Amino acid sequence: MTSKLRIFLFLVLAYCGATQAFAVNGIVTSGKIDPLPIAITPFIAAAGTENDSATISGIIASDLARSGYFNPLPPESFIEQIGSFDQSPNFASWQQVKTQALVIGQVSQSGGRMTVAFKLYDVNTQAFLAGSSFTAPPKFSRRLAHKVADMIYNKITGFAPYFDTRVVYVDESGPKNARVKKLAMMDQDGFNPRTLTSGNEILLTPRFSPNTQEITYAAIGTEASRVYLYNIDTGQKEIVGDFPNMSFAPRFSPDGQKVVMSLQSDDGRNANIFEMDLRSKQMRQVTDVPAINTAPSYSPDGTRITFESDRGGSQQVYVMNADGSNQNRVSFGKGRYSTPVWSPDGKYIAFTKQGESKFAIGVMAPDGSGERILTEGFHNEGPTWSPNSRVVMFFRDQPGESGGPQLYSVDITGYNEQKVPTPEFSSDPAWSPLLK
Amino acid sequence: MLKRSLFIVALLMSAAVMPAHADDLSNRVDALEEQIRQLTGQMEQLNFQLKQLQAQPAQKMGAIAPPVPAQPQQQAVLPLPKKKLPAPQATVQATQQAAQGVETIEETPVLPTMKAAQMPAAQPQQAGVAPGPTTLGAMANNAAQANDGAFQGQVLVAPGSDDTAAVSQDQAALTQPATLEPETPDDLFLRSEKALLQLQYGDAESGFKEFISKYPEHNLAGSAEFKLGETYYAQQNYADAAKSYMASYKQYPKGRRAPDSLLKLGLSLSRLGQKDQACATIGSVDSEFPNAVEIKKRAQAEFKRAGC
Repeated sequence: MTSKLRIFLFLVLAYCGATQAFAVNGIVTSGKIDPLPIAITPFIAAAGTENDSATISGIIASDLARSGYFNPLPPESFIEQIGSFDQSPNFASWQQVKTQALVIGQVSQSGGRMTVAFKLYDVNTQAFLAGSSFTAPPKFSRRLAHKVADMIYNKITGFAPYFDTRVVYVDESGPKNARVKKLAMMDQDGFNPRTLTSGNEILLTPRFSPNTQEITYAAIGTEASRVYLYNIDTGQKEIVGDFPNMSFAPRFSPDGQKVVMSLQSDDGRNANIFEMDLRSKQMRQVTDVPAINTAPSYSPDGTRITFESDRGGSQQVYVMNADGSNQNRVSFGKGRYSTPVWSPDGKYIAFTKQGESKFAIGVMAPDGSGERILTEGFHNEGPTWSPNSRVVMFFRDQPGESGGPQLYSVDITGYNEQKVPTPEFSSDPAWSPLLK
Repeated sequence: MLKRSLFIVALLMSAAVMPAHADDLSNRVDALEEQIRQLTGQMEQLNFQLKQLQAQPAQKMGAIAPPVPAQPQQQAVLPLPKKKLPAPQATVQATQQAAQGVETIEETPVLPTMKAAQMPAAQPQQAGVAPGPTTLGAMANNAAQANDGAFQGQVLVAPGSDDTAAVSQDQAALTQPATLEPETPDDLFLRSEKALLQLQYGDAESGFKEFISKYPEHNLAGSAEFKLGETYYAQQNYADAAKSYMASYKQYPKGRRAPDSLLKLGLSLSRLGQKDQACATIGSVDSEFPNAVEIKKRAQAEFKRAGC
């Protein structure tokens, strides 16, 4: 294998078994957790909000159901009809329909702004658990619903919210031998998808900034790969450093002030990890090993970086201090490990694992212990974490001429695998932090 | 497949440009590097096995075993109890404050007895309306009495319920002023930036000014000064623009916007007819920010355009 080919193999994780048929197996689609029965009553609609009201109840139910922890009961089964937000629920009737939680809500509009209010009750203890109202312009009605679902999810599971988030990904259209790849963004449930770039370049590894309105990505235009910053609001893009050699696999630091990425060496044989301070434009070399060191991802406190390297003969996951000291391999299972991503809570590293013609998505502790495979099959790649570190999204490619990559999500227990709908084929997702 | 064809094309390209005489040397270096990698890998494996062996007596393991798949700790919370919903395990984690440039949604707590008529305006909760305990039986009665817009916060305790602590905690969460906090610095910055993008210069100007006076130490303060300059520049108010760019550059010389500020200061001076100063300023971008390649390129172009 020539040195230049090695770089490209790392740039785009190669899949050797792409041409052979391989039965997808090992996918667990059912959860062993009993989802909590919850009754989400149709939200009461003020005049002019009838359509929104039905949609909003539906979005809340859909969010909670997709999380795998809730079982929203069909409204047809409800005995009591809630006709007013002020109505005190008849808990006996709700116990009869065997729900454990009850949500009543209301949608109203005033001064060009929409307000969605809800109350959450524990049916068995008859306790009022939570209530809130959220207000925004009506075009953000889906976000209002996500906020309500987030609060219910948090109150009952204790996990931090994640429904009101977005996902940036690569939209892939056209035939397999001439795919057009565009930067795209959507809500986490697949709604409001939109493409952000024209598709003149081959787009790779888009990543959200943690605290601004920017995305960093690598793109292969007419020449080599380059790293860019893209502003979602203005549509402006700027190159991150104009290096003579390829730059790729960028990711923001947790404070959003730096971008860490790989730069190809002058002789083209290797790649090392560099960090650029976006304010001073100063570059700092983090690794200096004659190998391909790439896919860097910071720990949430910014003190450490996980990355992949083939310095030991095959791709493996390493962890080092952010200054480049103390570089240690942490993956020692059978196979090759790549695309490590540190979870937002700092407890796990998600990775792609390749072995025996299968591609798996897994998680392990930052010291490499406790490896757990979440899903495996013909081709799975590119994990990204929900901001509450509970869900991993990734893409799965299908063999054959008509096949293409699509996005999926799975709980970190390995259960509740769900397809994330996108208009075209889609790859390389990256989850945003929670919106405000 | 595009990925495959991509690197195959790259391979062919690289092979085509590589001179024949370099092949031998290149192959030998490749082989040596490959050997080093194999040795490194073996060493890593040996170290790992050694660590496992050392850990063995403590763990009383019979053999070196691969890491045991573990269920995440959080699963202990689930499955959910049949009879009673669990008390919240944690309050909402400090959410990453993602200023995503989208509408920030206002949140107002809803109390159990809050009337529909009180909802739409999303009024902040009145301070000092301390909820007092009541019984569930009194709820309907209280609800009926609730009137004229005032909150009637109640801690609901079911008779004989042992849920007091949990419910009180929820109520405390509801009365927390977290959602009623004034606009965050990030929000203010984004709102002002949005106003600038929508050409609402008055709003943008007052927003950025407010930001600079309120949060001079914030890491966006330099950007706010720069954006204030942009607000003036867009209105062809080059004198004020120059002042703002100058402030951004002088006060935050290591700020992310420092190179842009210096360049735009030069451009503003140029528009004001101060050619010599403009040329000197634009010319200094090169020496001040040797690594700011994009800005340097632009500065060189502007240097020519300004007739320096």
